[in-house]
Amino acid sequence: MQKPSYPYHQLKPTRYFFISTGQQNIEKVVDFMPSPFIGVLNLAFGDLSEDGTISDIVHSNNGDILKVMATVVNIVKHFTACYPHYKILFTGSTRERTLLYARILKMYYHEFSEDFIIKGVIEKTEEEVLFDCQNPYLYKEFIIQKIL
Amino acid sequence: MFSKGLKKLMEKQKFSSAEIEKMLETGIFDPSYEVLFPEANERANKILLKAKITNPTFPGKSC
Repeated sequence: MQKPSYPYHQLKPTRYFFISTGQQNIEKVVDFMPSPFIGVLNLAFGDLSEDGTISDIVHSNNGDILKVMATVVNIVKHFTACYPHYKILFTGSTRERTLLYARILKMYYHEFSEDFIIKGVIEKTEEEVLFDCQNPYLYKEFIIQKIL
Repeated sequence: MFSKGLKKLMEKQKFSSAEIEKMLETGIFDPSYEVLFPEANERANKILLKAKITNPTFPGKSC
């Protein structure tokens, strides 16, 4: 994603931080979390509040969604460069957000697919399939893995 | 300069980077590993457990 992005800091091997400087300054945290399967991590990101808690539900409407997403993509690239054997799963906190991620994946498919195998879990059948930017499937979740 | 939120977040982290790296290398996380987004993790795991996901390749290797 050769779009403008924010600089980020790696707080821990699985945890990253950056500041979204849209209409206001919002601190964001990206975290790779263990799943029930070895070799699979869940990706989540959200807004950091003053008490140190994080929400991925809040709608910050900061006017910089593409820049935020480009930053998350750069973080995923950094993490998977270190841990290429992991599959990274992500889904939206709402159906709308999952649809937004699908749109972004479609838009930048040719670029993403150079670095990653991209799969999706189809909403209706729960099947894992290769993500195809031409097909009309609705996805529940996305799975990416660095091409080795 | 750390913000209040970031300071609090850092205080909550009980595992060192070296310990987390070790977990990533083996793929086995300590059961008390603190998940920052428990709701998001639960949501993703629910889909993962129902879906027919192909076996992951492992072990991982760190930088």
